[in-house]
Amino acid sequence: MTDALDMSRLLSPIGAERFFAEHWQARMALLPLAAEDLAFIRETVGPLDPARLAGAAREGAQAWLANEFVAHSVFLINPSNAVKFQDIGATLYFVNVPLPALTDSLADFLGAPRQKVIASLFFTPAGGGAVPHFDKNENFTFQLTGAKRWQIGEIPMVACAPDSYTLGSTTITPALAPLLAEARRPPERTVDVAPGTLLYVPRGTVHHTGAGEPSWSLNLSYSPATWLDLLQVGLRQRLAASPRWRGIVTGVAGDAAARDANRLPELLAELRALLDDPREAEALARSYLDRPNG
Amino acid sequence: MWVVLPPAILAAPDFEAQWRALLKRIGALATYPKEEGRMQYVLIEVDPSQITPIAEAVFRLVGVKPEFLPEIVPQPYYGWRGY
Repeated sequence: MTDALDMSRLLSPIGAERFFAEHWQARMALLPLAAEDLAFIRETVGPLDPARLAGAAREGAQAWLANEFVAHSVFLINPSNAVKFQDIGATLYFVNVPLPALTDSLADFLGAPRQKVIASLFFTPAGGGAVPHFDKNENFTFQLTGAKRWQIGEIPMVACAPDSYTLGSTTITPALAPLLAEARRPPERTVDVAPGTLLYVPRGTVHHTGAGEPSWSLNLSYSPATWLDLLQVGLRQRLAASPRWRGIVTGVAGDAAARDANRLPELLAELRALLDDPREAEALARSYLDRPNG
Repeated sequence: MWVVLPPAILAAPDFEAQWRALLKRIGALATYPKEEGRMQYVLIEVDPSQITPIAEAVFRLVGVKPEFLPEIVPQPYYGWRGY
């Protein structure tokens, strides 16, 4: 009996090395799960009860409703009304359900901060689905029950997208706007997922879904901690301990006398030495991974 | 709930009376018309089972699908009461 999520085994049909070389942040991957792995995941998730999951979701639960009379609407739901929204044909989304046996295993496999990997559950009614969009997260979706059809871009529309985006929406974040202006929507492929399927979708990849029957899926998503984040946070933490780095900017321009107080050249030399030291680089990464708040 | 009314609907001579009758029928608690009535925000508190029937009533009158938005209600105040 499986007692942990073994990502290496889950990726074995293509191999973990090939996954990181060819798929990670670059291309979707579709993998069949062994029966025992699906059973372990189902047991870890527990009963697919909307009321229970609405109570467990740390970042709340939502119902999405769109039909012949209702424009796409999002409702915040709770344990007392979650089943009612399920009964009227809404898609239910339970955000950040604590499932450390799954999320910590994935984070540890990826070498990512555990706090950045969360589990969310989706209930999709028959006829329900999602409109074309891309996410800012690296998504691993496990189909638990029912079947769902995905249309997925062959490659990301925006590489390493900093934000999510629904195609056609006029709401575009400043970070995304210049990237989206140059982007073209790549060709898509159709993927039918059945229970016991793992689908990896890189962030920035356009996808839309439809379900011919009610279905439940589990999404393990890595809200990216970027290399830029690591450097910003790690360097700030490391350098703020030094009074030299806490000194104020002086003499970059201005009076000739003030220029004597310009410490930038010596600070840059210090920074180069720090970054060239493998032990310092390791400590930088380690301190970032070990932060309590992600 | 909010809905953007088409100009032709707004200009109809009996529209306002029909709109008011609809608001009463669906149990509207308040309305916040903007842009000379073109955008209508309607505050309702209903069971989820009534969402689609209410949307259908609106759609049949104005020909536009309404969107439902969550109402943010402040936490109840646990201090002084009855002042």
